[in-house]
Formats: sequence, C-alpha cells, structure tokens
Amino acid sequence: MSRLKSESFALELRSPSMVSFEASSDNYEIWSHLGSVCGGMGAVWVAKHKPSKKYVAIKIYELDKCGDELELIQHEIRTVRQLRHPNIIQYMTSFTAAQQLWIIMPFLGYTSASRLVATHFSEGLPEPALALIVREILQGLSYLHSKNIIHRAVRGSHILIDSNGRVILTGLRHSVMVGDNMRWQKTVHCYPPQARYNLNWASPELLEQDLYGYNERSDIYSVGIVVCELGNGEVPYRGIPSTLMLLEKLEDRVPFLYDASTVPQIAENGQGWGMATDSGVGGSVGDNLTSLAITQRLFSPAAHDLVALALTRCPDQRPTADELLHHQFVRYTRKLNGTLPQYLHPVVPITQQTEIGDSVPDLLEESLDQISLNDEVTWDF
Amino acid sequence: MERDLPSDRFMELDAGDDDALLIQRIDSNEIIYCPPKRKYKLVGKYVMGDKLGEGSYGKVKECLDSTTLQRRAIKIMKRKTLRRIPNGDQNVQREIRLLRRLRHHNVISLYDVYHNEAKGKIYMVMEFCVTGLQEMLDRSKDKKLPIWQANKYFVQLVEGLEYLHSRGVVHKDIKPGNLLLTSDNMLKISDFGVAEQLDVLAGKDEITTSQGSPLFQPPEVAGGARVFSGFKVDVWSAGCTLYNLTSGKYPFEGENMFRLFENICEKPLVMPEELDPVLKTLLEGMLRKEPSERLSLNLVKSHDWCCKKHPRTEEEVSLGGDDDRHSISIVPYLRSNYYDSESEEELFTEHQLNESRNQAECKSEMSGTDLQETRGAHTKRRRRKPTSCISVKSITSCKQS
Repeated sequence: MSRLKSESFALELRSPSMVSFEASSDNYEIWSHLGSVCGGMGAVWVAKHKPSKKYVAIKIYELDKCGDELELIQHEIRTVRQLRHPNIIQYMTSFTAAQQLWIIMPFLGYTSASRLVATHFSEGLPEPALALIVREILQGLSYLHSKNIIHRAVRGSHILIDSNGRVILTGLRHSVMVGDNMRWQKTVHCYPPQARYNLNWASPELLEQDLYGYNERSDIYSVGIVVCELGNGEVPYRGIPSTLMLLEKLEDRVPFLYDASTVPQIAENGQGWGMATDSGVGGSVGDNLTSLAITQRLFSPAAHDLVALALTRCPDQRPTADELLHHQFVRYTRKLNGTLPQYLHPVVPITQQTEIGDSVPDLLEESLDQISLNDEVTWDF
Repeated sequence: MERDLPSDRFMELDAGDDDALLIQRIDSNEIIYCPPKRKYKLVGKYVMGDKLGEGSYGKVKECLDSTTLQRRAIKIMKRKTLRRIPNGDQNVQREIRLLRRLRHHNVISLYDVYHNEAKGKIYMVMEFCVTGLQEMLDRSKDKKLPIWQANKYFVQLVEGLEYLHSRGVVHKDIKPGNLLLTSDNMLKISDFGVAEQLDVLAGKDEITTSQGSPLFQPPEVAGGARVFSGFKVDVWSAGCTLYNLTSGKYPFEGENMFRLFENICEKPLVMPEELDPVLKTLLEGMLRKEPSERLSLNLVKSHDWCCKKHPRTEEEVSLGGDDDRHSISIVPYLRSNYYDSESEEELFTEHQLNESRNQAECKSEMSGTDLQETRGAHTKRRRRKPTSCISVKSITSCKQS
C-alpha cells in the first residue's frame, strides 16, 4: 500500500469512544481484504487504526476507475455526513490519498445480514433475530424518511450488524432526496442510476417509471423483500430473468415467507405451484423449498402479515415505517429477553474470533478466508 | 418479409365471394377484430414495446433495457425509406455521430445503435421521454403554458443550448416539437437530424445551410443569406419557442412559405399585449432581425426574466393529461413471452365496437363523473386501435361505403 501524503477534504468525525480518526492514510494499517464494492470500483479492507489500535473498515475507491460513480460516491459522503442516527452508518472520516478515495468507518463484527444468511443461516434467520433486525431497519428508515430521503437500496447486504447487535443501514449512495429539484413535489420520478444492482428489492412503482412516480414507501416494499430474504435464506426472484421479475411484481404476485403454513400447499400443487397459488413464482424458484427444516417450522402470523403489508402493491395503501413500527411483529421484540447476538448464536463477531490472538493479522485473515467473500453482493457497504 | 405488421388481421365473411361486382352488406356482428398481438421481440438487450410515434424517418417505439429494466425509446428506420428522403441517410449518420459525443442532462442521450443488415434497419436506442412540449401545448388551454412553467422549461432549453454551442454544435431546429420531457420534468433537446458540427479549430460559427422548420427560421435564413452565424440561428428559434410557449402564438406567420419568409424578414415584431415587460424585452432581444444585434445565449441566460423567480400562479399543464400515467407498455409483451397467452386472446366484433363507442360518447356528453369508467385502459385501447386491425385491401369484393 502506497503511503502518500493525503489531502483531507472531509471533516473529521469523532467516534463514539472519542478517538479521533485522522484523515491520513499513514495512520491505518491495512490487514485484510473484505470484498469489493460498486462493481469493482473500490474495495473494503479491514484495518487497524494505529494510534488507538481499533479495528476499522476502510472503503477504498480507485478514483481513476470511477466514472459516473464518482458523483454517487460524493453524494453518499455528503448524505451520510448530514445524518446522525444509531441505525444509520456514520463515517469517521474520508479523504483522498493519491489516486484513491478512502472512507473510514467502524468495523462491524457481524458484517452484513446477507452474509450471515449466506454463511450460517442458509434457511433463514430465526424469527426473533429477524424481528430485531426489522425493528432497527424501520427505525433507521423512519429517520431517513423524516429527512425526506428515500434509501432506494434496502437489502440484506446493506444491513450491517456490529458486535453488540446494533443494526446499521448503509448503501446511501443509492439514496435520493424528495423534492430536491422541485420543492413542491412529493414523489420522485428518476430511475436510480445503479438500479441494476438492486432490482430484486425494488418496488413495483419504482420499476414502472410512469408519471405516478414513487415515494418513501418504496423503501417499505424493499423491507418486505428483505424480510423474505433473511427469513427464507435467499432473496425472492433469485435466478430468474429480471424481466420476469418485473412482470411478477407488476401483476402483484407477491413473495412470502416459507414455512409449514405456506410451503406444503405449494408442494401439493406440483410443478405449477407458482402460478397456481398466485403467490409469486418467480419469487421463489428457491432451492430452499425442499428443505425439511422449512416445511417443519412456522413463522408467526404477525410475520406473514408484516410481509404482506409491506409488499402491498399500491403505495398509498402500504404502511409507513412509523406505522410498521407499531405492527405486532415489531412490538413482539419488546417481550424478547435476548439480544440480537444471543439469537445469532453460535455465530460470533469476526473481531471476537481474533481478539484471543490479539492483533495477529494472520488470524483475522484466516477467519476471513473461511467465509468466502468473493461475492460482491454480500459485502456491499 | 415485413414481420412488424400484425399478422393476425382477418375478416370473416358469410356471403359468397364469387359475386365480385355487388357491394355486399355485411352485418357489423360479422366483422371480427382480433386485438393486435403483442409479440415479445428483442433488439439487442431491449424488449420492444408499443409505438410511441411516427415520423418521416421511421417510427419510435418504447422499449425496455432487460438488464437495468429502464424504459427507453427506440427509433427504427428503414434504409429503403431513408434513401427516398433527400440527405436521409446522411442526416441519420450525422445525428448518430453527433449524439455519441454529447452528454448533458438537457440533451437527449443515445445509448445504443444497432444495424440489421438483413432487414435493412437502423435502430437508435435513446432516453425515454413521456411527452414533448408540442403535445403539452396542444393539450393546454389557449395553446400556451403558465409563465412559471414556461420559464422552468426555457431555462433548461438555454442550458442545453449553451452546452451544445460549447461543443460546437448548432441544432438549427429548435421548436416545441423537438423539446421532449422526461417523467421528472427534465427538458431534453432532441432530433439532431439537421444539426451541424462546427469546425472547432476555425473559431467561428459560420454556417451556410439551415433546414429547420419554417416558422422558427430567422430572417438571415428566410432571406437567403449565404453565410450566417449558427449560434444566432438557435437564439432566434429559442426566442420563437419562448414566444410560442408564453403567448400561444407565433411571432411571424404567413399563408404560405413565401409570405411567411417575407414576414419574417420585413414585418416588425408584434408583442402580445398580456406579457409582462421584462419578458417582452427578452423576446425583443432574441428576435432582433440583425443577427449581430441579437442577444447572445450568455445574455439570454443572465437576463432578468430567466433569473427571476416566477410565482406559481396558474395551474400547471401536466405531463400526462387527464389521467394518463404513461404506464410502461412492455407488460403484455412480457406476458406473451412468459405465460401462455393463447387463452387470453379475445376477439370482438364491429358491432360491439360501435356499441362501446356510442356508450362512450353518451357518457362524455353527460356529467364528468361517469367518464371515469370508460377511461379504463382496456376500453381506451380498444377504441383507439381497431382501425389498424382490419385491412380492407385484402378483400377484393368489399369496398368501404
């Protein structure tokens, strides 16, 4: 890693522990590659902040490779800087170093929700964990929506979890401000520049691109998809042509959570299950359907209801984030005794796996290698 | 081998076909229409949709990028047709060359160009626009826009022109019909068929030809000057456009081309009374007959009327009209590709068609509340399309009465 003099252009944020993270690449020791972001334009690294010996994640963009994306990255930095909420990502600092743009952010021990699913919960997260994550996401979205921001890319890989179980929403480079150019407008019409990465999560009204436009309730639809993604262990519409996915969404065939109450009736219907049950084929040409564990488990009716509400076809009838925070499925989290890390047991944060060896880079590297992170999607900060 | 024509046109006749000389009476119940089948078709990675419009060069269809699911417009031109238009092929090639180098949020973007040599077709994939200023004017009261709305679009037009001129491109055909709008109200300068790329090194904007629309031509073109400033041509046309947007009239008219050009050259400019004085000074500056006295784009941009905030006093002329959402038209095509579509095919007769027409007319004569029902997408489509479903030519024994 070249150690070149950096020129700071961003304001330095103080971390919660009051350690100040300098806008200089000299202060960070890069350890291990975590994954690539933004279609290979950048990479995420685990690093140690030398003065404080703290783990950080560093997103490094190669400025030479960024074309139009540079604007989005700047948009992301500007947006994140204006926001302050426990469920929204905070960057400690960002700066350019030679041809690179560095964004320093906290290293989150459990990494992303989609990676948890990919590596440990291939048939989906347990319901309590799901409910806790959904609550935090809705809180984050409620805050964003109060600031007139539509996230537009709520998905498992943009949901990060720190070692204490705090859930943090990232991916704000896809976001848009309502009424940015025309103050009186309450809807947005522009198609997200990087929509192709998030098509499976996108709401039907966003995909329709008609004069109706879309608003913050588009994010709620994505929450419904995320619940299916994390609950089923795979995102709806996976592996089907995007045009078929579009048709399914516009014709209002909605995905659902797989469990004993939904899967057997499908199995009985035989091959044509998707069409016959009017339940989102596409949804779900899932491998997971055959699994025994799925046909034996049962999600609460509240969970099914939340998914159905969030996936309401007409945005005006879809609940808002605030309304969903009062939904039974979310209220149920108050009665839970455990915390998110307990429900994620036996998975432990990556940082804890290595703290035994205390700052031995190799160990961290090893544990990271075990979880194959070559998939760009699962680590899209 | 024209595959684009709906292949499912047919007509059923009960009477004997031998009686070729008699004009037969056919019951309207016996004329059966089949709605045009929406066949799934790909050009490159684009799924073809409904027709958006038709021009002398070819037609424009909606299409969908199957990788990003973004709506696009695709201009389809036939080599054969182009050859019949003076400079047709040349103009298309020039437009493609120009558009490839241009990138601005107020200039239409060209994404892909496909050539199908076997069919002799050229496809240009461009940004999707829901409507254009001309369409909006046609729909609006008094054929004009509220001042604040005209201002919003004019400012974008000036921005787009400024960019074009900075790249040495003279558009030469600025008019409401060539100014399109996207669903988020962005104005896009389109149709570069007669645009010209200036020699950047020459440092001058001298041009010798202009083939734009007569109503928007400046005196130097109308009067037949040999060499003139290209940029000032666009300023004049933009001035005519602004005049038209705000007053619903044209600065100069004439019963024929000769009279029109004569008027453009000699008749003094008459301002519509109702316009406010600031706007009048801007129009007057942009429509000066002597190109060297005409405002430059820079002066137009910094003119008070452009910089000033205009209160939203009048109701906006909407992009879509009454309740036209300009919905995505690809869905039936996808359905025919992914689902078994045969069962959905519905036939209807001339009789039914007339009934529904009559009903619709009755209703529209009544109060507006009942109108909603007939405006459903289904009835609308049926009412608009049927004439194209029947080809009278193919039946020799039958003539339209």
